[in-house]
Amino acid sequence: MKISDRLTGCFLLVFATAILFEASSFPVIPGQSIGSALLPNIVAIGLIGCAIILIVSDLVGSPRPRLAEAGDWITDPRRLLRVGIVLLGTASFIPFMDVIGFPVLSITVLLAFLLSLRVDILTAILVSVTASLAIHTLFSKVFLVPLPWGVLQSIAW
Amino acid sequence: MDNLINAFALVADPSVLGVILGASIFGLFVGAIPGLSATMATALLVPLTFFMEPLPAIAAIVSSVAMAIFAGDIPGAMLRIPGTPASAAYVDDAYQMTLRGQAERALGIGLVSSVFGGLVGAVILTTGAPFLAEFAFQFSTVEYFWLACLGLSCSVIISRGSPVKGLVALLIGLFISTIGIDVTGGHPRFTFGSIDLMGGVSFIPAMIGMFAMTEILRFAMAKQHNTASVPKSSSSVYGGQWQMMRRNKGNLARGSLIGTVVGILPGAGSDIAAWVSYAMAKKFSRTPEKFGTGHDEGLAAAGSANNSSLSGVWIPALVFGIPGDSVTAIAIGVLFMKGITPGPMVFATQADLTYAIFLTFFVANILLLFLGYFAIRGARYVVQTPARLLMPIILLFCIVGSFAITNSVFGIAIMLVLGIIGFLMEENGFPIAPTILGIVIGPMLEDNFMASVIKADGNIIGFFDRPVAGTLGAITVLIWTVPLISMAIRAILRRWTTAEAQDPRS
Repeated sequence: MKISDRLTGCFLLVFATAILFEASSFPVIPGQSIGSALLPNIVAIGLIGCAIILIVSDLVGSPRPRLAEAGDWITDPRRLLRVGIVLLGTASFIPFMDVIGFPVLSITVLLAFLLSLRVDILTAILVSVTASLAIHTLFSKVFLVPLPWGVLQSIAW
Repeated sequence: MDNLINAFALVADPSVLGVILGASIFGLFVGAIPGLSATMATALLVPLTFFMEPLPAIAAIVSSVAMAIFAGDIPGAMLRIPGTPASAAYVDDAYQMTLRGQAERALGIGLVSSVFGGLVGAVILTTGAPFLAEFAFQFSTVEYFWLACLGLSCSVIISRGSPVKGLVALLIGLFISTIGIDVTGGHPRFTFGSIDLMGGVSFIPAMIGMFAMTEILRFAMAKQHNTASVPKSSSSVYGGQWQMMRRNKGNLARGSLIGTVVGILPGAGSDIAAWVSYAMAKKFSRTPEKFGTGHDEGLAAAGSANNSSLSGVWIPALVFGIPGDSVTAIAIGVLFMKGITPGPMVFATQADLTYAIFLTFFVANILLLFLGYFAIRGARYVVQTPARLLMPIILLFCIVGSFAITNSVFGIAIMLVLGIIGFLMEENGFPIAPTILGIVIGPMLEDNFMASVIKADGNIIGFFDRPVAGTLGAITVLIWTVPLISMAIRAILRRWTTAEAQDPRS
């Protein structure tokens, strides 16, 4: 996904302004003229300087690249599906891990990802179940990480 | 001497040796898979090190990286795809040998050179770091502030591509480091009322996102995931290597020294060490025309350089607490989590542990000589491991690893967000390493700056009035200003030349 330097520069300008705005409310250290806002302000000023250089050099340069290009994956349904599974599958752990539980969620995401990569169904089921349960056992039993069982709580071991 | 004996006892612990062996096998596997880098091996390993004692945790990182850097040669020689960027310099030589049926010989040269370079680097680390630490005892917050500035500045200058984009990457990292409660002022910054953000952005999920999630996204977007075919080969791994070493003793020695020195420079990693060493070997060679055609000189020089640099980067990391590359940035983060602050004090207060860390470099490199043989023999099968089975499992490992650090799904959110940011950055030419260095060094930079300002009562002279501080400050200011001055001079000269060319009287 290609984003032109002028668009990136504009985004950085907005971002840096937001940092400056938020940092303006930070207090100073008693007895000093500086405080919690110092580093964020330096970062924001640096970002503004870089943003201006990126915008100007992109506008002056020729040929001028397009504002943004998504890449050919966006027009390929299979690759789009794969990216969707990676992003949404990972994001699904945030609201649903406690409710559904790690084993069911991980088997589902892994199975979907494997199938989108054209792995045959039997191998995909075998890999997703084995890997999910192995990782779950390793982290919950060896490292004592409380990975939630969710709907499978009744058969938790 | 007592410290060294105690360090031996610490490393000889079966659990430490077991961790080194396990991490080594893991590093060899990850490094041999095209697309999985040594940094990614570290990123995937860190969630496990979270549950270990400090020594096995660091030993796991040291040994897995040493193995992964060598193993990066394997797909380079077999498929002409460097497994890690550190193997890119000599990939043509290695692959040309494979086409002549000498894959094992090419990888054997890489193995022996790596072990040689790794051991030379370990000797320099073990002898040089304590001397530097003695010197660093005199440092105050001002010197540490300038060192942090110097390290961050070098990471921007040395990073590939545009320095402006390197600076943006660094500033993003510094911004991320400011999120959470400000230690100096006790004020929450950029938390927007979130309790999770009060403690700051945990660096392990951030690093997993930026190094591993980016690779998974790139993989998901790729058009094809074919399993590669490997040319047939029937040479010997160790056969003729002694003669090769004697023939290339100059290249090995130069490569090892260059590697260690390049490693010490903040921001320069094993890939730069390999390129510099390869170029030097070619410059001093009697047969430079043979480079790139399956010649062993470049392989020996660059192979020794990339592994020796791994020891070099630990010198500033352990002595000053300034990481030289992404891997040591991660390792320093691990040490912080274990309650150990890298710096000259660890050489006094944790001398046994420090020397034990040095010893793990020797153990890892000696182990590499043996494990490397089996890796080369099994290489044909490893490089053909289907990535479409591995990547989904790596995704799951990233999710669990990010969760495990805080036992909360907030870690997964950090990993996902920074994975997307890291992906967009890399796709558009913004390097990731300065961001990671910014996240790790940011708090140290700010703390030392605030303490120095308060000590100097706001007087800028206080930043330059000590000899070491003045020198470091001057070097840093020069690094910032010289590129700007040279750019301005070039622009003036260009304008002057153009004006002269357009002047009808000339």
